Amino acid sequence: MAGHKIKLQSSDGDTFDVEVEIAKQSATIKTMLEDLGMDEEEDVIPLPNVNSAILKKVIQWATHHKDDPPPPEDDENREKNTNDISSWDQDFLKVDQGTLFELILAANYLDIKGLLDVTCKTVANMIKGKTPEEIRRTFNIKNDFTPQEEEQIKKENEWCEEK
Amino acid sequence: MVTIVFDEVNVFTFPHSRIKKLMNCCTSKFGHTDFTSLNDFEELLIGLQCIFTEFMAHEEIENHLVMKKLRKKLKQNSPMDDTELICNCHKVDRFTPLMALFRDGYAFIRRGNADRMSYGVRLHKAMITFYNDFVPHMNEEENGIQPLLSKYFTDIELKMMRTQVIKMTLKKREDSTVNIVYRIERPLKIHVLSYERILSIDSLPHNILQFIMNYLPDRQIKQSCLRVNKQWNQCASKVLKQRSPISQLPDEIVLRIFKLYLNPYDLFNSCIRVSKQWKYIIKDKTIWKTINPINWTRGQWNSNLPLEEIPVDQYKNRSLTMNENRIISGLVNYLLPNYGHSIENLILYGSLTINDNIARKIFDLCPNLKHLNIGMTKLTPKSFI
Repeated sequence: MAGHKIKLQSSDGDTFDVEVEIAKQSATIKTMLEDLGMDEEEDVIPLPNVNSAILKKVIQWATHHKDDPPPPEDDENREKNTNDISSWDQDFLKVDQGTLFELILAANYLDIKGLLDVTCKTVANMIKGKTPEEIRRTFNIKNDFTPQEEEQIKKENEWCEEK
Repeated sequence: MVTIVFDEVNVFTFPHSRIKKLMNCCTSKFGHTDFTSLNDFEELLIGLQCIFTEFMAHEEIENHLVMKKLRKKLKQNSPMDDTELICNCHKVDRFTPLMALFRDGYAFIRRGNADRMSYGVRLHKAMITFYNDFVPHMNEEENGIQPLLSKYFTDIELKMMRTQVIKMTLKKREDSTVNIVYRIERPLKIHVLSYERILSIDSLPHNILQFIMNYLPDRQIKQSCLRVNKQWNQCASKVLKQRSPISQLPDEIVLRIFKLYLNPYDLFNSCIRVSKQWKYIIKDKTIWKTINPINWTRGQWNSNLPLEEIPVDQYKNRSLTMNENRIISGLVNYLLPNYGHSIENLILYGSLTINDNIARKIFDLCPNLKHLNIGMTKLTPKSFI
């Protein structure tokens, strides 16, 4: 039914009216709707793992992508291309790291393949081409190797360095 | 005008003072129970059941000896509203849920300490609810119903009623609880209360809890602190966020990024050297199911599909051979000893350098191999011997 809406409730209690077709990009919500047979306007779907700010972003993304074809299945053998992020998505994901990772968690929890894909690609691009120290600085990760361990791992992996 | 009721005509004071005493016993017993000790725990449950059986008996006695008579008298004299008042105050079933909770408790004897402690918290709450309800109820009886009794019964009738109540109360006590009060009232060894410890850490403000969590490693915070309760979850996520936003991501998602979007070059050249956690995730066998090291020698790290064109150019050929030698020796000496067990699908298509000897070494290091592509290589059946 076109234009039919459901209510999504964030962890902080705000509710958002969303078209069913848009909300169904989330496999989690889709299953909930089908399993529970929820179709009355009054029903509210609680999403205790997603806060309002992130839910707003997710709905914005899903609204923009509502006519997309379904994303391809996970396949470890497909080419690892991370340069195919659309310019709209690139702009959409110009956010601080905290928001980016919260979006990944939300996409994972709501099971929105396309959003998970594009956010993970963005993180992969932040890793690509950087030295270990640059990666640590980018993500504020603590180096927990001893200098000896570090030397050892470096030695073990020298063979792949392109000369 | 205040109604003055003398003690010898007050039917409620005797059993009520007994009940208040028992309630104090419960509280003190609760306080002296170490929920990590099975003996203590079982003793508490038995004690509570005995005490509450006596409470139930008390209500029975009151119903039978006092309320019934009063109701009868009221009906004869007929002010409707009074009848209602009395009917209501003894109708509420306060005991069945509590007794059920006590019985449930026995199932926790075999459970872990944390379960028992959380049951203890639940029990404590239920008891407080009971007290908050029952104390006003007793007051209501003493201050609301006793005057009614005095109004409708003569002093002599009341004295007899009181004697009956006392007699029944004492009898029930002897029947159901052998010296229970003595046992509970005896001072018990005081433990540092694990149960109270939960209550007190609960009341810590967020910033202190965060301060404490700062001392814990990421893994610990993710595995347990996040799941304790809402407050802990909030504090734990804050600590993780401050520490490093990426550490909020569970290992599965980092694995997903490594597996689907980063190639072996990214992983070995930098990711594996970032932190122990990342090194550990890279060990996951799903990353290494399929590899094509020959593509790596030609700078193609992103795809496992064999490259079709075979170079003919002599100069190019020589640099490719050098590249292959470097990568294949890394494969045999470092990669396969660590990840060989994970490899199910190995593509060596188009290799210029691999000979039977090296191939045998490679196969030995990949015990779980299911598919092998050795098209366009120099390999002969000897490599399988």
